Amino acid sequence: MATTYQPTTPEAAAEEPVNYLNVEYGWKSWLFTTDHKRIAMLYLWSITVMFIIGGAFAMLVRIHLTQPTGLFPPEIYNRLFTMHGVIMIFFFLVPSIPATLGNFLLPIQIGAKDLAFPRVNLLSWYLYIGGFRYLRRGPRWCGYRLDFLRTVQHHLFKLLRSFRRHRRLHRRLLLYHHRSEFYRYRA
Amino acid sequence: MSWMRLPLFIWAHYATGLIQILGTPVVAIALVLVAVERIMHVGIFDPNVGGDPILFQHIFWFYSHPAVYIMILPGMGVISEVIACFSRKRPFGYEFIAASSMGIAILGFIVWGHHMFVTGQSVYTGIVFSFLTFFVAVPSAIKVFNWTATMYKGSVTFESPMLYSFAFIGLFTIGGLTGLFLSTMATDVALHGTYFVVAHFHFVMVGGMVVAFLAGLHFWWPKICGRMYSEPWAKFAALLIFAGFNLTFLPQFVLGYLGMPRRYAAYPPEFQVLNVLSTAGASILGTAFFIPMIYLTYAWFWGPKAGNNPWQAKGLEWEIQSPPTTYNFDVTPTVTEEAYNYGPWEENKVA
Amino acid sequence: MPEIVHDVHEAEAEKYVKHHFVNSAQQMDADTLGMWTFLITEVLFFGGMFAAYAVYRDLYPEAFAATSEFMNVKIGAANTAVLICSSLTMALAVRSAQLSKRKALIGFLIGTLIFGSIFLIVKAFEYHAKYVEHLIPGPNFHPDNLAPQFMHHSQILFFLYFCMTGMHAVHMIVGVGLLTFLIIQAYRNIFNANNFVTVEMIGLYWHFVDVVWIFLFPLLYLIGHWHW
Repeated sequence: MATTYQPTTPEAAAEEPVNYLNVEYGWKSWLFTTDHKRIAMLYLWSITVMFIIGGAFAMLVRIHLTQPTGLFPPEIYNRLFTMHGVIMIFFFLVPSIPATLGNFLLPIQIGAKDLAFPRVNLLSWYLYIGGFRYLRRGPRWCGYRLDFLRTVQHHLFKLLRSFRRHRRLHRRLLLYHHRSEFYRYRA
Repeated sequence: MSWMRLPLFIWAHYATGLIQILGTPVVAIALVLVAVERIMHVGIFDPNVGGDPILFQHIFWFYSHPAVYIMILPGMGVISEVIACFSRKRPFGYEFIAASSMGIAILGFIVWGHHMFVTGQSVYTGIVFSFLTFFVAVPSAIKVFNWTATMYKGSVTFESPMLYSFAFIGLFTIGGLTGLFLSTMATDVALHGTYFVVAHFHFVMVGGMVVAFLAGLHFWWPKICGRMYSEPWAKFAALLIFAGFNLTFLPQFVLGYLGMPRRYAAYPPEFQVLNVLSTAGASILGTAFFIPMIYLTYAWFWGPKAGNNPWQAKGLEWEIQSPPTTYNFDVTPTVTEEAYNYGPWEENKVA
Repeated sequence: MPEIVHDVHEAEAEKYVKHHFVNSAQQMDADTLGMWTFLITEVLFFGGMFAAYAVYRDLYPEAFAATSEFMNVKIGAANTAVLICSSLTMALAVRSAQLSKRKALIGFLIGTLIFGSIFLIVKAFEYHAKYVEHLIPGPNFHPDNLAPQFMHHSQILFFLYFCMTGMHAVHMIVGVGLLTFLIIQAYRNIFNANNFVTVEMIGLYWHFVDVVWIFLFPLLYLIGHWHW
């Protein structure tokens, strides 16, 4: 993102005014910024990634629902739509406009130079990123772990493999084989 | 800058902020209690140990209903801005839109029980929540009327942010009206836990909020990166998203009405056609969402330079350069003219 | 907020204004609003637990009354007195900062820190005593002399007790950390009549934590000792 704006000649430098994107380069200038516009861009990138992940879960749900008996085992289906909902609501929808457009525009629209607490703003992004860590499973001291993504991946690959061979037979086997050997569930 | 000169985008975020401050700690404590309950193996919500699961529902929904207003209010703020710009008119009833945002924020806190009609709570409680939920629909309706009145006799043009705004008004209205079916306790008893609910909230969340987000992204993209995106691709993506969205979620209303439950891994075979239609729509929608990601990213690097104000919109953000400098303004501006000071419509016709 | 009258030149105050604020009055306004907003969220946060407490107390009044016999009112009262004293020293510390009295500021901050630490240490002893008496909810819960019909519901009270006082203690620990930070900054002579907002804000936080305890103490310790 940064390199395209680097002016190489005095003429080019003259035609590209200094703005919040090219005023500083390097990952440190982005990750330690207090500029509300840069933080808005950090959020934009993050929520786009989360939107894609949440959307992927949505596609899995919809694919599952093309069959009246479903394609994944019921426990997996439960986790699919739960993850879709949690990711979409808390990691995409709630931050979407306030944290990207709001962060970017609010100070400008009221004639201010930045938000009131710029470092708290940056902290909020770090907390948001920190939340990703707890998506797959809760904190270790909760005493509860579910190797969820690996399970989904396992079933997905099984499904894809089955398309190459005997579709109906493999699907039946899949439904009968949703036993605990496929996912580790430590209480 | 006085309160009544603030852009409606700011009013919307002000209301959102109020809800967030009051509501989020409650869900935080609910989650803390659940977490500690799991660790200490004792029940505060667990009925086996004398706990009350309904208490959890109350605490959870006390936040989660205002949460949906947290999600939608900023979107409404964006739509106010976009419609004003592309109708070249001051929003009709500016004070009412601002007051409605605050009204939604306040009323949103007293309707959480409409998620709990079938939990066995008292019928009288249900009646009260049902009535209050009807009441909270009024400010949203006021806003929709104001937006349409803004467009009336305005000089309307059909750039892609405006296309998204049209989609928002239509889809959010459908979502809101179906919400009324759900807030009526009698019909909710039949519709609770069915795909009708799923369709309702996807209409307001995706058809409302995501569409508003895209409208805002497109509207302010030239300001954010200083370059303009490809308008034909944007129009195409907007139409594809609209088509895919409707194909995905309109069948779900029918499914819910016919009784298909939500969160079930299997369903009776007679529902398969509608489900397959919905999945087909989802595929289109999913593909369509990628298109803006592509052309917006392309525009960021290689788009034609946009000036400070490519839409000739009113607002402080359009007075400064695109992209803005780090400190936005050299001197704090003094705002003396009223917001959305678009001139008489003949002068403002955009070619 | 007290009206601070000082005749220091305006330029002195402007040294401490961050770049995105127009003047020190606006900065003080923003900081105060920010801290009060945060405290409101904290009220809602503790309020959820108070609501749960209210619901269960309404459902199981006898169990709650019976269980409160296990709370040590004397220790609770002593802790309350300690915390009130700490609020006094904190308020005096804020005043010292406003008057640029560095030695007094450091002294009062250290006093607040000592009182807060006393509170936490006493709390730790209290928790340990509960642990020894098998009063921690869970598989090892068996209080002496408690009627068996209250066994389940008294666990709820103890659960709430540990949650509410535990959450309060966490806030106290954070407060102690903030006080340490303040003492270090005060030692470096950062605070004066033009730059005391940080002390005032942390003072607000400390007072809030104190007020939460003022509510916790009667509800958890004193209920059973008052009969209909």
